[in-house]
Amino acid sequence: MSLLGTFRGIGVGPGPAGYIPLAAVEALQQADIIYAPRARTSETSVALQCLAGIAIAQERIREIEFNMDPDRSVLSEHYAELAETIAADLRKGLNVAYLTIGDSMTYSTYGYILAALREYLPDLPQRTFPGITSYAAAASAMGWPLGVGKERTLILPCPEDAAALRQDIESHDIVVLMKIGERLPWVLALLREMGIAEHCAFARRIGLADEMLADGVGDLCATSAMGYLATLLIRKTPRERRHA
Amino acid sequence: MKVYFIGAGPGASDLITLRGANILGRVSMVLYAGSLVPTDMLQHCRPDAELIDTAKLDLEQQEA
Repeated sequence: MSLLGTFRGIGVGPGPAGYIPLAAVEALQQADIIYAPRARTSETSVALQCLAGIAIAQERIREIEFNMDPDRSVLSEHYAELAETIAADLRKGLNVAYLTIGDSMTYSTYGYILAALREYLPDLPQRTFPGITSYAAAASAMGWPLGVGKERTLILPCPEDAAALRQDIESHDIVVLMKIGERLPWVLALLREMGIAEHCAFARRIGLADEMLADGVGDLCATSAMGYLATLLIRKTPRERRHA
Repeated sequence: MKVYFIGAGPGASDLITLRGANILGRVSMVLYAGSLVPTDMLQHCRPDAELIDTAKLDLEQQEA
C-alpha cells in the first residue's frame, strides 16, 4: 500500500508583497504539484501573481479554471471533479499544495475542495496555513483599525438589498463588506444617505499593480470603482483619537 | 528614520509573513511585547539589533 501525499492549503495573501507566512513558503517548496485556481474571466491566476519573487519550477504548477457560477449545484459538481483529480495525485504519494488568494479559510474555494477531499480520503494528511485577508491588508494600508476595545465587528458578504445592509450596519460598530461586485452603486448611495461615507474606506485589488484605495468614500465613483476583489470597511462613527 | 508596525501572526515564529521577517532582518531596533510575542520570533532579527521588551516598560517609557 502506498502512502498518501500531504495536502496543504496555502493562502498567498493579497498581492505579491510577501504577505505569506514563512511556513507556507517552505510548504510550497516541498510540494510536488501546486494547484492554482484561476477565474474563467481572468487571463492570469491572481494567486500565482501573488507569488512573484518566490522561485517555483513552472512544471509543478497546475492552473485550474473555475466558474463563478451562482448555481450551487453546478459549483459543487465542479469542485467534486477537481477534488477527484487532486485525490488521484495524493494517492500516488504526491504532495499537493492548493493556492488561494487571501486566507484559505475565509470565503475561499478551498473550503469546498477540502470537504470534498475528506469524503474521498478520510485519513488524508493535511495542513492549512493561515493567510492575510484582503481586509487585513486594506486596514493596514490605510491605518484603519478593524475594531478596538469592545467594538463589534461583522464580516459580511454583501446582502442583496439596502434595507438588510442598513440593519447590519446599525447593529454593529464596524462592518467589513465583501463580495460587493455590481452592488457597489447602491451600497455607496446608502453610506452617503446614512451620512457615514467619510468614515468608511474602500479597497479593490489590494496589493496588485492596479490596486485602488480610498480612505473616505464620499467622492468615490461607483462606476470606476466597481469590480471583482473589492472590500469596504464601514463604520458608523469617526475613528476615535485616543491620544490628543 | 522609519518605523514599521509588524503583525507577527498567531505565535509560531514561522507564521510571520515573508515581508515581516525580511524587515526584522534589516532594522536596527525592535520593540516587542515579551508577554505576547515568543522569543523564538526574535531569531528573524539582525544579530546586532537592539531588542527592547516593552512588557518591562511602563507606558511613559514606551511612548518616549
